[in-house]
Amino acid sequence: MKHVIIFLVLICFYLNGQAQHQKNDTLKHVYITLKSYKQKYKKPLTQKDSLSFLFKDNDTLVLVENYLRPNGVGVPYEYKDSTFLHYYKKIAFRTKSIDSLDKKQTMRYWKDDIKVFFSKSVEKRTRNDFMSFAKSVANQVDSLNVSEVKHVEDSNYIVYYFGDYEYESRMKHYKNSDFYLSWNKHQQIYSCSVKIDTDLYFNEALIQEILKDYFIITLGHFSKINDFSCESYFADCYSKNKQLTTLDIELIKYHYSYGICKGTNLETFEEQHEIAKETLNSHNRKVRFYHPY
Amino acid sequence: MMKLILVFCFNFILFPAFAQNSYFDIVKPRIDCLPNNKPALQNGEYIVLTKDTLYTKMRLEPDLDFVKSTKERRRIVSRYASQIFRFEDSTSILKQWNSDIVVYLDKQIPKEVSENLMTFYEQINEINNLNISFTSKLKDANYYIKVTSEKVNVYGEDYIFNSEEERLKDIYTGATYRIITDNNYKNYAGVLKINISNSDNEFLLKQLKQMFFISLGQFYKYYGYEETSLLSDKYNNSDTISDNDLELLRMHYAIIYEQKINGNTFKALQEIQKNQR
Repeated sequence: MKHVIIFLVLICFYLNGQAQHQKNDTLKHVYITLKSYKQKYKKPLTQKDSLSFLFKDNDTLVLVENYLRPNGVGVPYEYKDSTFLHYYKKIAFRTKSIDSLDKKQTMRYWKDDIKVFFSKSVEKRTRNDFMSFAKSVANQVDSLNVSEVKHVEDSNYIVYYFGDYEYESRMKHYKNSDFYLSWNKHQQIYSCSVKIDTDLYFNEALIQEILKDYFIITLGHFSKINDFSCESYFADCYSKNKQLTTLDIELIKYHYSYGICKGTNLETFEEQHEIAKETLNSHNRKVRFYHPY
Repeated sequence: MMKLILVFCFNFILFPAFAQNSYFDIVKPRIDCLPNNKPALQNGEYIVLTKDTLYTKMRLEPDLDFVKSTKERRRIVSRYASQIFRFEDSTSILKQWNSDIVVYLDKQIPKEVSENLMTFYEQINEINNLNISFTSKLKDANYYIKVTSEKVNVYGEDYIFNSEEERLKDIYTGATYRIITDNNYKNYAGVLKINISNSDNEFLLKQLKQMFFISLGQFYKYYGYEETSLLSDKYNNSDTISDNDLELLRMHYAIIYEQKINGNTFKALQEIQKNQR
């Protein structure tokens, strides 16, 4: 595990350089773990190589000359205080307490723009209310874009009601309003279907409230938590006065920030933060995350 | 070393007693996202954001007198605990409305019944934290009393009544309700569905009065209660709400709990009450 962590750190962190998009450029000197070296280069190490070995935390690091870095972007590590991170982890990693089992949970996010399709049953004012809310969120969050589409085949986010055409066959037998999210092996969400029981959510106000609620939760397969007051969209309790609090927005912004690694599990997330904070504290050095395209 | 072990054991034994000596040890307060210019709890938690710092809002510990099981109140407290927690300490969780209830009555309900129902429920407007009003617009409601032509049978098809008369007189014959509950077991909307095709006005009013009352706390009806109680199987369709029923509501809505409450936490609140002045 330690090897994996160090490898990830070396890939994600770029200690020097500027926050900008970079084409596959060559770095003169990069140290990577022995294990990563063997996986990547598949050629035996020479005596000369061994002269530049470094030993750190029980790992052997190999110096690679003229390391060819893939296309990507380097972004400064985004420092957050521990209380903020405590709540972020509960929400993004769907964990109620920090134990070993929960540490395998992964964070999930939308890589592509969200394109919303509404079934014909959804009233225009509800569509408008939803889109206005969704865009107000997206406008405040980098790399999150939402738009409405007219054809279902162009969409990756479908809103429909009980009794409509069944857009998501896996929700065919659902008895209650719910949503269905799909993600790939990189934990990137690529589709969402929201199905509402209008027999119970009997007026537009109730429908609009639950749709907005689902929208926030489906932005990252988030968990609701019992720590925040009910006005927050991340609180597990209802409020007539739900609003995107400054904390809600900051949590979503952080989730979509390039200042953290995406799609990791909780264990890796914590390890990376520990290393990044340690580097910041002990070397006062600007740590950067490098995200290959 | 021995001293260290003794100190550890002493702390371990005393910790549970000290750990739950206030209401907020049982019902964890939620963090209000207050900007730093509002009064905040001293020593409370705070969260640093990019451009602001959020603080925990100040809260006063509520008066827990209503859970006190004195000689005079023993029966009603016991009735309340059995209604809400069903004699289970951890599995049954208290459900309450945490928003005002705005009722829309289907226009198909006879006017006489609607008016009597509204007058009847005006009696509970003195209950703290429970506000009930009626609206003529469905769009403004969060509680819909809806007439249906569908057959409604809450009991299964194989349920055996003692007689056809008993079946017809049961309030769940032809009526049911569904409540929207959040993840904290708080209700915020609902639909009471009723088939009125076989009901006279008197029975319809009785049925609506009882069903609506039950949905206020997800109570259950019981044959052993006095017939003035809306929760009695033998309810006499009285024009007034009984003192016991009102007291149940007072207890149920004395506090809108910020966290889930089960039988164990309710008992813990009773213990805390003993130390309140």
